This record gives sequence, C-alpha cells and structure tokens, in this order.
Amino acid sequence: MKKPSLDELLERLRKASERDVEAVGHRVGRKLTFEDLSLEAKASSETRGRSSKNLLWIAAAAVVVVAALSVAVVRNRWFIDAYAAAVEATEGSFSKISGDRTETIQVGGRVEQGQTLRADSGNGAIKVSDGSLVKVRAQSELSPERVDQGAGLRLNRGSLVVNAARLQVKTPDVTVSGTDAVFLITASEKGSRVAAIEGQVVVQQGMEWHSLAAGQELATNPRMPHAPVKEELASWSQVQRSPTQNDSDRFEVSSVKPSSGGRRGASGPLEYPCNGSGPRIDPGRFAVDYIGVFRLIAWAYGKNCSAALRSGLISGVPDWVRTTPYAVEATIPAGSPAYTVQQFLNGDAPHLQKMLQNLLAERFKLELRRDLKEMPVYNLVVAKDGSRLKPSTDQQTQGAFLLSTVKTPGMVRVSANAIPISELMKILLMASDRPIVDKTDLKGLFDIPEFEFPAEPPPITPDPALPADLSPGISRQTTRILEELGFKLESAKATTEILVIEHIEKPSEN
Amino acid sequence: MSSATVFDVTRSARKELEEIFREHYRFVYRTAYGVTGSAEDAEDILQNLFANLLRRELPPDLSKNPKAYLYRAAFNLSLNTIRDRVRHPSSDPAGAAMLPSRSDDHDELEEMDRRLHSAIAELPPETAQIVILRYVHDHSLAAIAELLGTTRGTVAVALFRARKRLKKRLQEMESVS
Repeated sequence: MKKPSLDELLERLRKASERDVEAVGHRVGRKLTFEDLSLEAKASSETRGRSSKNLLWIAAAAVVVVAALSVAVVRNRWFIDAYAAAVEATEGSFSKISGDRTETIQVGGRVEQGQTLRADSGNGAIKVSDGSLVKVRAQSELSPERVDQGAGLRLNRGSLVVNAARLQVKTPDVTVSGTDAVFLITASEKGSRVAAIEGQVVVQQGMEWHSLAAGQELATNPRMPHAPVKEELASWSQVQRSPTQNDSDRFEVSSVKPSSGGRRGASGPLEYPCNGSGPRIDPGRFAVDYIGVFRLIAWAYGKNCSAALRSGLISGVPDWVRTTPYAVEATIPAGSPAYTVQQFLNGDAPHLQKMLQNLLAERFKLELRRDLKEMPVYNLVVAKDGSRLKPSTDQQTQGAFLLSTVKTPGMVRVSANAIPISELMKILLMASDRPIVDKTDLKGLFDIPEFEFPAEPPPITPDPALPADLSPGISRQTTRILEELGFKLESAKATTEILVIEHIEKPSEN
Repeated sequence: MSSATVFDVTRSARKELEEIFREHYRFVYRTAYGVTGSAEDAEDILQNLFANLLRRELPPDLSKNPKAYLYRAAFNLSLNTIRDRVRHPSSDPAGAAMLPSRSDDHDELEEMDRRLHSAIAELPPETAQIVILRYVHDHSLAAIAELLGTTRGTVAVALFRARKRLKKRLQEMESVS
C-alpha cells in the first residue's frame, strides 16, 4: 500500500458521514432531554463495563471545563505581567513613551506592554521576555505586546534584526513569526520588508502566509527602496565618524602626545595594556601621564580594562594600541558635571566618558561598532551556607580596597572596609579569564578580610573532555578564597556588548 | 432524589439547551470523533457533555457563544478520553477475535489513523484545537480566529507549526514500530 501523505491522513479526520452523524444526534437527543430524562447507558458501553464511568465523566467534564477556563484567565493575567522588553545596550539615546509621558530609558530599563520604545539616536538592543534578542536601529519605534502564541513586538516604524527564541513581530502590513530564527524586519510608510537570515520564518500578509528560508525575503511594496541584506546590516554598524556637535560633550582643549613616562618612573612600551598611570581629574581638567590607547578606550566606553582584554570585549586591536603609551591632557568645559576618579573608573561618569570618546574619534580617528555576543561568564553566587562577609558598621561611606604586593611573585594581598560586592568583583576580575556577573543580590557595604590571591588568571589548560565554556579560568586558590567568604562562581553564558574597532590611527601632532 | 429533582432545570433553560443541541450536536460530535477517532467515544462525549449541562444552570458563556463553549468542552473531554485510553488500554482478545477479518492495508491505514490522533493529542491544546477546526470542520482561518478569539496570523502560524510537528511525530512513530 502506498503510504498516505500527511494531508491525506488529515483528510481522513473528516470521515464521519452525515448519515452517521444524524443517527447519533437522534439517539443522543432522545436520551437526553426530549423523551427520556434518565441517563441511559448505551448497551455497548455496558458491555464494555464503562457505564459507571459515564457519571464520572460528567463530574470530570464539569471540572475540566471550569479548570480550563480558570487556567485561561490566570494564564492571560500572567501573560500581561510577563510581556515586556528590557534595554540591553544603546549607542545613543532611547526613550520610553507611556501615554503622554516621555522619559529617557537607560540600559536595564524595562518597557512594558502598552508602552513604546523609541530609539532617538544610535542603534541599540533589547531582550524580550521570551529570551529573544532584538537589535533596534536608530529612529525605530516599537512596543511589546501579548500574543496568543507567546511574546510579541509591534514595530511601528524602523528596522529590527530579531534573534527569535519564539517571537512574533507585527508591522502595519505583516505578521512575522520565527522560532530559533534570525530575521530582519523593516516597517515604513511605503510598506514592510522581511528577510530571513537564519532558520525559517513565517510571514502572514493579509490572507496569505509565506514561509521564508534563510536568504529569502519579502516586501509588501516592490517599489520600496532597499539595499541587499548584507549592505543593510553593514550600514547599521556605521560609526559616528565625526565628533558630536554638542559642545558640552567635548573637551575645550586637548593635548595627546607620546608619553615620556609616568610619575613613578615607568616608561617605554607598556608590558601589559592595562598598566599605566591612573587618571587625574580636577573640576576643570583631565590628565593621564602614561597610558595605552586600549585602556583609554576601555575607560571611555565603561569597560573594565582587564576584563576587556581577557574576554575580548574590545576586539580588532592593533598591537600599537596595546603597547604605545601616550600622555593626555584636556580642559573640561565650565559647568560640566564633576566626577571623582572612582566614579570615572567605575564607568559612572557619562559626560566625561563622552568627552573621551570624542577625543578618541578626533585625535585617533577611532571608529568602532557595538555588537552583542553571547559569551562565557561567571555568575558570582552565594554558597549554600550563606555569605560570610561581615556587613560594615559604616553603611554610608564607601571605602576602598587596598592592594599590596607580597613576596610571592604573581600574588597580591587584598583587604577592604566598607565596599560593595561590585568592588569585590573588580578584585576577582583581576584573576579571571572572563567577565563576572553579580548574582548575589547582596546590598550594602562589607568588610573584606585580608587575603592573598593571584593577580593574573592561571594559564588555561584545555581539557578535551570538557566543553570549552567550562574551561577553568579561575585558580584553585581563588576558588578556595571565595569558599571561605561564602561565595562560589558558576559558569554561565550572558549576552555581552563587545566593541569592534574598525579603524584607528596614531594621533597627529598637536 | 427524584429524577425530576435531579434534572431540575427550568423549562426555558431546557428549551434553550435543546435549541443549542439541535444546532450544534453535529459540530460537537465531529469534534470528538476528529480527536478520538472513535465513533463510540465521540457519541459518549456528546451525550455526557449535554447531560452535564442539563444538571446545572446554563453557564453564561454558553448562551453568549455556544459554539466556542461547546467546542472547547468537547475538545477537552476528547483529550481526556485519549489520555484515559493511554492509561487504561482496553484489551479484549475475545472481542478482537470476533471482528471480521480485515485486509492488511485496512489495518495499516487504521494504525496510521490511530497514530495521527495520538500525535494530535500531543500537540499543545490550543494548537490541536486549531488543527481540528481546520481539518475536521474545514473552517477558514478567519472563522477559526473568530471562534477562538485570536488572529488569522496566529492561526496560520499555529497550523504551519502543527503540520511540521505532526509530520515529524508520525515519522518517529513509524520508525519505532
């Protein structure tokens, strides 16, 4: 026998003939209400010994129907609470619009169902409640929404690149669904465009639906101007090649020249890109005597230099950027916000960082793009028996950690009073091959007892038996110290922003 | 308790239920038959569903949209039947021996039908409902969307995915057998 196709099998679902159905209707109707009120078991049911089940079915049916409706109500309520998107990264400025209220939204901010996210300037990325990662092009406007099959976005205008877990995206013209797929979707006044990049996506347009494999695309208006997908994606990465026109984000005067050495006598090429002098920040002046450009870029973009180096958070780096030291001096415009050195090193000095970004663009012709990449990380978590850090008696004034060299080469001694967990992580980052994410949920300031640990991560010896992301990037000693403090590190993956240098030049004479 | 007390529904409610039965019994029966693949089970489900409604006040949703209410109820009862069948498979060697002999092709086709019903029962309930409305009742996407309170796009995507899953599942079942 020739094997029937799925369609042929599905057709057979309709096989009950009209005559049979009529006969059933008459039979059941007679039993139910119209001639006989008693619930008469069918002879065949009794033969099979199922008559007693009928009463159970009645009770069960009532429970099932009520339960199903209850679940639907509860489920819908959960859906409303769960459907949101969180901003993962921005190159410029994003806004959240809620009713007639518009406010700036930062990285980590949420946009709920019923609210609108607008990329005012610069590209960015959001994460949706189903786990989908979505790149948002500048000038785009979208809203999260609930759909029956899961999470959804409504794209009012602009472009998205969607890495869909199980996401539906709607424009005024089309509805696009993808599961484990990557696609580009554009909405404009002229129409919509969908291009499948990876996997398969389903596009519903009016009464029709289309399935697009990777490389295929659909436009609702053939006259829509559009570039090939590759070119379009490349244009997303276009960097701001000219400095911002906003004077408040630029140094008034700046000087960049090869360094003659640091204050402590260091000179010559940098042995380690993150070595060098610390910044000096006065209300009107920014200066650093001996610093590599790699570290300057890390400062300007709020990255920890060591973590950026080890985890490849800044890539495309020519050798001279790592090794050639420069001296930088710049005048900060009057009226600019004032920051401490600590705030600047923590990446909490946005205006000063922006000035440094512009200096790098002007003097080094730096062009870079931001990408999102899933990378191995460590989650810092509290161990089963709880943290052994002692809360500091002073919860108001943050202290600092002390690092001092010890006789044992490659080791440092650490102690600190009144520091937050984020500062402890900075210490750990010194001895880690990957970023560390604080998952402890510990708030406040703590005293850290003195301990020694490696200043550099140990050489990684690949174990072919282990997946790459479980390679040990932390020494046993560090692990032991963490255990004593009541913590542990867990391997994980997280979406991390990486900076890709597309162009950089040695600075011209001042 | 007298039978009159047991079936204590008002005259107007009974009249209303009778009208609903006449209008929708075919739909309920075909739904149950489409899910269970068994005429006997489908008839039981039809009977039990309305018998239960006779015993209580008519739910407001039934009056508001009888077709949607009945469809969901029939579907859920049908799924329960299939699950009950999996948990307590009937074995009646004597009965089987009394059946007229059938050709191998017929048996094979029935086995494929059984697998399809089983595969449909494994789909997410909302998706399975859409499959039944489409392939048993031959409803359009718009009609399905209206009945289930969703959108045509959602229905289209659900059907697309359902077909993929059914195909895959049937292949798995065939390779195991």
